[in-house]
Amino acid sequence: MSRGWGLVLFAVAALAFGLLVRGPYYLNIAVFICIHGLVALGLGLLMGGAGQISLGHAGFYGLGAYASAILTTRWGVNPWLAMGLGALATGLVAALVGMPTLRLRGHYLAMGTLGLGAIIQIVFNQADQITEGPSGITAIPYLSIAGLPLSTDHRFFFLVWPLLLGAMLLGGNLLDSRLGRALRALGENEGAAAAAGVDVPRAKLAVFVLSAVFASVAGSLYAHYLTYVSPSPFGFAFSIQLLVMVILGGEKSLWGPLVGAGVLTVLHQVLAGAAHQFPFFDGLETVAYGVILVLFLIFRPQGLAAPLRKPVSTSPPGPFPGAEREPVPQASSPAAEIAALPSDGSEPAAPGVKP
Amino acid sequence: MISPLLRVVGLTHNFGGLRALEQVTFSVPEGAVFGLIGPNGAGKTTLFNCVTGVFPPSRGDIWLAEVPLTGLPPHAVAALGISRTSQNLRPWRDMTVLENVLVGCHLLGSCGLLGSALRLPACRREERRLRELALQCLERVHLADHAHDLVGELPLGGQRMVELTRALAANPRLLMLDEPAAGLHTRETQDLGDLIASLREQGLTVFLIEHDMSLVMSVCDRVAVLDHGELIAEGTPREVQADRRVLEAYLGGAAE
Ligand SMILES: Nc1ncnc2c1ncn2[C@@H]1O[C@H](COP(=O)(O)OP(=O)(O)O)[C@@H](O)[C@H]1O
Ligand SMILES: [Mg+2]
Repeated sequence: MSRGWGLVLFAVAALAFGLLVRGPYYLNIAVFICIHGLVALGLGLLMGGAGQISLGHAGFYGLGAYASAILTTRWGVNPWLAMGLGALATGLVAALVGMPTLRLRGHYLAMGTLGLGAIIQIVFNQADQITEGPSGITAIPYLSIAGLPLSTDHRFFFLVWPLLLGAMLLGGNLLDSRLGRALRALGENEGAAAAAGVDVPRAKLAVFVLSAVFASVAGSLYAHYLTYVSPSPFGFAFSIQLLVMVILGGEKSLWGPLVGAGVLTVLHQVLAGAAHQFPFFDGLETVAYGVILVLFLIFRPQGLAAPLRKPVSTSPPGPFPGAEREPVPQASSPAAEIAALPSDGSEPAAPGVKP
Repeated sequence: MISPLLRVVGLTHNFGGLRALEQVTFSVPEGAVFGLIGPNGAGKTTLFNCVTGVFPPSRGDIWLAEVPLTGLPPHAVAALGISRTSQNLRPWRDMTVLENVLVGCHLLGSCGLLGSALRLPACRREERRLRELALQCLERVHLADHAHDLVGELPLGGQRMVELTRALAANPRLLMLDEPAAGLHTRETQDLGDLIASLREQGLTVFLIEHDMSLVMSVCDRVAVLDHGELIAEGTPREVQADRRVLEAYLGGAAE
């Protein structure tokens, strides 16, 4: 299975990178690619799977980050537990927003999440008794594994890439499952999916909540990596960046969002460096994202990674001659064959059943 | 008398000011092939949509056996055993033939988000079972060789067959087909007729909208005629064919 090999390749590459690269500059970028990749992966499942858009994913990312920050600094909760609690709370918030908006056809979810994202950032800024306002929360403890604090870029990298790999595995499993097919079906044609028995609002809600949980976990990782959170990274601008990542990489492919996260995270570094040297570059970043988005929507709407997931046709060139409207040139056509179908259990079709 | 499987009573549906269905009452006997004919715009597809929950009807009631369908959402209607194909809802062209049929098997499984993402043993077993079922369906229609082709790459006849296989995969009690022969060759249409006849022999009830009169006359046990949203005739194909109002409305009208 090609997806399995892709994941193995990813693991080998990440492992090699982690073993060979020591410089904190590159490791830092790699850590952020993985964290952004995790958020983008979830958003990609929502966009590519259910055909829905969230304009508030930075808010879910922020909820995870702030949940971890507040729970660990104020109440001394174990960081791993805080990550779990944050994910739970974020999932609940997503369900509350998703339930009314996903019942309706159209892009009500985009509206709902746009509002939610704005509210979340206002709360981060204003509820300063809990969130410390614009100055943010400092001295967030490190995550640790078996007593070893993940306090270096290097150690943290070896946490985030396996986590991302795990999330990709979950996402891939989901897309290949009954629910995943239902999602892809409703993304292409809601009415037909419902007629086949798919509970459309419920399926959309499930993947939306999952994508919010991915964002929340990524936010917790962010908080424990930098040990500092403030409201500004969790605003509308980042929601748009996430959207660009997914569209750039390709929402229909499992790898697309990760590729997009990689490109945008590196681009951000480059542009930030340029802005440092040439002050007039400041603000050009947003323009760059806009240009990228438009160019991709026009010239490559399927995204960079699209060919990676094009279904491979393993069957021999069959009796359907392409665009010709000819029936199967057999002794009898398919319909005649169903007509003759035996009701007794013919042999189970072993070939093609995935192991 | 055979008990009705589907009962429609006083069904009325308006689109804004347009009255698409007006006090339509009829029933589809269990085990029969029931045809619905009428000129374009008569309200046939609207009637299908009301029965399958796409629109809640403005007025009237619908039962499947003793279960009221009125007001149920489409997926709940499907879960009660009604499968349908659509005049313009195409199969999922971006999915493979096998995946299309697997979506048709949706109601035969129950695995949710967590079980699927974690590939729990129960879900792996369910997935294997559904795949075997779907492949069996495809083998019967000789589409197994195309299981991994994208549906969008098949010719129209093949796509129709995928859609029909998908609808049958759910093991429905009532199969509703909206103009299944539109765009098919004479030969394909004949095969479709044989298929419907054989499904009937296996005890399936079929509710068929069709313009191809020879198909309707050859496979239907009973035929109802809609015109401007009203049921103007119902009976055996022979009776309906001889009905004066039908001749006026349908055969003399906008029929293809
Ligand atoms: N979704 C809709 N909104 C508004 N009008 C509709 C809709 N669907 C069908 N109609 C109208 O209702 C009438 C019946 O249409 P339809 O049921 O598709 O007819 P048929 O299937 O018999 O050709 C037509 O006048 C059509 O224009
Ligand atoms: Mg119609």
